[in-house]
Amino acid sequence: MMSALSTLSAERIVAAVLGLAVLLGWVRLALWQRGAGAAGAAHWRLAALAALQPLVAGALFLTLFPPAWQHAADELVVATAGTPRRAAFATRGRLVALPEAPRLDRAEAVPDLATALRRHPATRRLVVLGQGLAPRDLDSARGLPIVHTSPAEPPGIVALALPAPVAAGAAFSVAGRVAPAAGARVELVDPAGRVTDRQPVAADGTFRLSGTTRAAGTARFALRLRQPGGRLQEEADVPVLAVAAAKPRLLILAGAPGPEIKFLRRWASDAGFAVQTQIAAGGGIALGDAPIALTLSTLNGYAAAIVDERAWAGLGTGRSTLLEAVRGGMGLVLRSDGDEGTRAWWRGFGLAPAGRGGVVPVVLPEVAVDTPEALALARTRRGIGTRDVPEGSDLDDPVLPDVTRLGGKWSGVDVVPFLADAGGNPLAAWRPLGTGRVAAFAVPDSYPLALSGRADLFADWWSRLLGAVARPADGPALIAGPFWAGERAVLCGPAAAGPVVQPDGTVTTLVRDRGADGCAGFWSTRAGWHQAGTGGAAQVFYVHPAEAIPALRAGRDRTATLQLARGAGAAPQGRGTDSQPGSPWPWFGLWLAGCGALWLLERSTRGRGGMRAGPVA
Amino acid sequence: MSADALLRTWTGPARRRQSTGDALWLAPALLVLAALGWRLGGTAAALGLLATGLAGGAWLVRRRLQRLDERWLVRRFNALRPDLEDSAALLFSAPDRLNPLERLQRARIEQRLGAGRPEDLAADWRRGPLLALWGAALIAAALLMLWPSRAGRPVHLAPSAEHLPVIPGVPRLVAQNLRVVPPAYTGLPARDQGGLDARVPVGSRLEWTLRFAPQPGQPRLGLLAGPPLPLRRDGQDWMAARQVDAAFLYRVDPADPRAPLAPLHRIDVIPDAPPQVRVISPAASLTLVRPGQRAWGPVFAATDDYGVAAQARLRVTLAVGEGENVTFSEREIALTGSGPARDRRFAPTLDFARLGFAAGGDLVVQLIVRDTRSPGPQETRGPSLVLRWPAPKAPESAGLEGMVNTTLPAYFRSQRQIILDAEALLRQKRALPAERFAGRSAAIGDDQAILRGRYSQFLGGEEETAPEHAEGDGHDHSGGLPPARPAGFGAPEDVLAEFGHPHDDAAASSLDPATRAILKNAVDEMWEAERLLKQGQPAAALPPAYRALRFIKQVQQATRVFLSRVGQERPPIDPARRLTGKRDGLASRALPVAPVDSGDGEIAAAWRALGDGPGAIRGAIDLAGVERWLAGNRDRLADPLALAAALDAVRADPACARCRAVLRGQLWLALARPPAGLAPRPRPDAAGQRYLRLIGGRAP
Repeated sequence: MMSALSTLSAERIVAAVLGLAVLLGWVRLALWQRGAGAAGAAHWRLAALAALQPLVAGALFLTLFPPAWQHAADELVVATAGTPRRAAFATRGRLVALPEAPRLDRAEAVPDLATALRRHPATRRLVVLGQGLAPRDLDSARGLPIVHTSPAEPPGIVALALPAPVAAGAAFSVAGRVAPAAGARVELVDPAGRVTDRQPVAADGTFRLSGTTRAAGTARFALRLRQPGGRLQEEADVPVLAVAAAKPRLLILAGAPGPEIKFLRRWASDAGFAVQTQIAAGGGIALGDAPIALTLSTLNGYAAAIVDERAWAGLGTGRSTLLEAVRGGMGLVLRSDGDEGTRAWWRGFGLAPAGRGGVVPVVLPEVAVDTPEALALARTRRGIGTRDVPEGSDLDDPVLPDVTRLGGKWSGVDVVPFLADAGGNPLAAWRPLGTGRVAAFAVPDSYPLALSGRADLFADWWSRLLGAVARPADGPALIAGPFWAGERAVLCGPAAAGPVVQPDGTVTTLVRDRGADGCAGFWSTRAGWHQAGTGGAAQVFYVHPAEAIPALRAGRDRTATLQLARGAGAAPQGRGTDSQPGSPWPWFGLWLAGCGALWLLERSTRGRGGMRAGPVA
Repeated sequence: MSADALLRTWTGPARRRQSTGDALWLAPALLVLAALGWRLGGTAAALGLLATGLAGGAWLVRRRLQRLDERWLVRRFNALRPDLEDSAALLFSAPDRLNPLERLQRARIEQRLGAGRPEDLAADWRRGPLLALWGAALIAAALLMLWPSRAGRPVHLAPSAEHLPVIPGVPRLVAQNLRVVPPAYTGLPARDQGGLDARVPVGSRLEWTLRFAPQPGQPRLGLLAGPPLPLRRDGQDWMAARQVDAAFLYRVDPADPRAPLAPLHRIDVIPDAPPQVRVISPAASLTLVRPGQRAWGPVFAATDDYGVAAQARLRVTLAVGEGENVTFSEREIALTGSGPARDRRFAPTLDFARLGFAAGGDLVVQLIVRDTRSPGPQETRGPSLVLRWPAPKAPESAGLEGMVNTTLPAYFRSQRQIILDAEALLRQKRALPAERFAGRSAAIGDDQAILRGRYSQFLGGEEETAPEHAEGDGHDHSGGLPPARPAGFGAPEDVLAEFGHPHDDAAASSLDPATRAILKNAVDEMWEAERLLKQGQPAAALPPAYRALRFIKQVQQATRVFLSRVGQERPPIDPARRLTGKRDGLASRALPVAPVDSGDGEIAAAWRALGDGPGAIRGAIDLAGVERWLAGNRDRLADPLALAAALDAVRADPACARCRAVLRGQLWLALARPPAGLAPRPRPDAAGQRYLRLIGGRAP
């Protein structure tokens, strides 16, 4: 109250002094004009001098006591990360700055949006400046109309598809998009620090890199974005989880012996499967392992079965048992070996590729070894050599074998084509059946891969094929991110139950929020692999450092804020106004301009009469 | 005064002056020689050189003194004493052989002789040159002795950079120097370096000079793999030396239980690469002789990292002749290269006439160079260069169906061998008992039978037995050398004869009718020769054998063999078994398959334990398994020392996060890529499973 009084009095005093000064100026002008007689100034000059006096005085007053801004009382301007200074300056209305925002002059700093809304309970409308609201503030902003004009996309990695868990030893790929794309290159660096893949970025900014895993466990690859000159622009962690199921049981039923079965069996037993092979040799003679009875109880112990067309044709009642086992969760892979009768059955099931038939070649990925650099890249994907296959022995002259597939496309409603070759053509398709899945593999003979030094590709195909259909099993699952240190991560499902083990071994207990479907929030403090839950239900997730991949994070915030803005509907018209201290600087500018004009006018000889010198004060 | 006394009197001063002068002239040379010896070989060498020099000098002085004889004195008198009137020679003549006038003259000059002094006859000193020589010699000797030596220069210790905590009273490395002395043959200078990590040529000698504060008891260099290297005290410093043959890791160990573990240092070796041979000319490996060419001058360049020996060898293989008469001769020619040691040129000139190289022959040369490594220089054989002198006429091959083999299969040649054997047997006939003679004749007959059998093949198998597929008959499918030397050396068309054989049903189909008729005659003659040989009559067998050879030569002149094209043919169906319903010996059987264990489980376990995901061990980790693996798989790794160093760092400080990250990176390099197994899909939650069960799924 006191301050208000003193302010008022000060304003009044200053106004009085200024008014007096203007009056004095006018009087002096009038006296001088009368004294000058015929040699007095021209009328326009006199009028200008007289008019400028109150203008300058007024401007000075407003500089000292800038008038308050009048704005909508229910509008709150929120500065978020990347708010341009100019935009903040130009806004009218109450400005609050969230912790991510840059330093702004007249903004009120708030720890989060909820606090700001509590402080300004009249808020009915939000104007969001900058990249957008962080996940922390989205819930607080829900329900309020939001105006968000997003700035330009920040440069860097703006989209990133991190790899899903892969089998130990399998290849994985990382895709994403960078901006700007012109001339940029991306590199994938393996945990030992070697570049394992290097690609130029496509014209639209997208890229796709691939690497290979080794033993089961967590690994940290790195994605490097290089500018056209080769300068490192950004580096992002690529967390990869390699898993190895414990001795899954695999049943292979073959209608005849052949190289495909031989190499399939070899791969499966080397890759940790407990393989049961039964190869019919005709006339009731079976080769392979000791035969088992195809009953539902037996089959329930198997993770997957691989059956070729000829074996399927000879199964008889075994077919329905197999399908019943699939309904119970088992995976079934049907392998084509050219039996037309069975192909018809497939077709009825939606699993035979339809359309232009015939046999077409599979496009295999080329391994470039023509330059030392390419050879070094290829080596990093191999792992060390074994006694039988010394390192790099098969890289000297890579041969691409001829592998063919059945032509045509899958078109069924619930059929999912997958396992694309290098040309983008799917080689297999699966469809659900009960809780299990059935897949068809359209490559009759994949064994030439194993014979020509591409055993890794052979293993990769079959690993992904079986991984798509095999009976689900417990194991470390990956919670898809990305998460950043210092941000809230939402853990749902079994992960929400258990404690979280941080990278340094610290254990944090989670509290489930019953209001949020039993999910739990977790605020990570350090980057690295985290484990949530215990035992078989354990899940892992990777937390990026707080400052990592800023463009991706900004994009996420912007998208979320824009979605929120679209969902909240139109903003209501403001009722009533509120005032806020204004800035003195525009008035100061006006005062300075007025003073300058006065000075110029006083110095100028224009409009002066006669030869006499100017007025003498 | 007798002549001798006169001589002694008058040459005495000159002799003394000359010996002194000689000594003064030789002394600087001896001085420089001794300084050189001291510099190169130490005091003993200096003394040895000095003694040799003194002996040589004494001999030289003595020899020069002998020149001051009577004749010298006479010449000297005549030159210097005009008052002796050129008659000094009379003084040394026997008085009884002089005529009176001479005696008179002699008496006169004897009187005048006393007017001069013997010292006047001595040569002048020539002080200027002598002083210049002495000055130069003294400067040279001083330079030789005082010039700073590389090997002997004092060691400057660099301050230690191990960043170990200072604990009062505990010895700690404060300064060090590592001297690297590469093997002499590399020609590299010894170098001193302040750091304890080095990359040195293999075979280098390393000399450590270390200083500790305070002085430790018995410090040593602890090698990560191997026994420690004790240090010996040398004044303030401690020294050790070692010859390096392989890379190793070590740490400076003051051998004090209170001392903190010092960081590891690494010595890498640069292996000595074998020399490389490049052909500069000709551009292609096969060159044809130009008309009128008489010599050939291929040019080779040999490079090596340290030096190529100037002496090299050129292996010259000469193949002369055609058809079955190809003879090989091999010799080696010593060459001397030119150019710098690291990039030598060898440009031999091969004269055709001297080598005996003629039309229809091939000249193959190969350069064999060695580097200067010692011991055991490395030898490299360069690429072979072939110079071909085409035969005057080439067989025509036009308008023929099928592949044309322009040379005959190589086994057509052993008829000559049978003749040679038979003739050799005839020569030994007297020395051999009759029974043995008959036996050997029969053996040759057997050879003849086999040969006839082979030729019969070309006629459609007209022989009573099946002699083919005898051991070493050139029809072995596998292994070893080609059945015989190809008829025309290196003939590019001779691939079939070299690596295989015509495989059609009847070999006879590959011969045209005229050739076939001649061949039939040859086989007939072989029959005859075989019969006679088996009857023990090699002398009688010779004419038919020669006739057979002549016929074969005629066949050879046809030089055309037809080979029918063969496609992929499946094995014929055995009608005896087909559709009989017999299933004897057929039964179900197990085909066992055992998974291959890569044996990398220890590495994978350590990889997981060192990470921050599931299975991570945050405290001390048992790394013994990794060490065992490393000991057995050193050769599979590109850089096993880096893994060993990382292991050591983690063992020393299990809590060091950076060391763990480094070790994890190294373990990644040691991991094999297993065949991709199964990554099972995540289990759907209860609601999802219920949903899937309810919608069921329809099977056709």
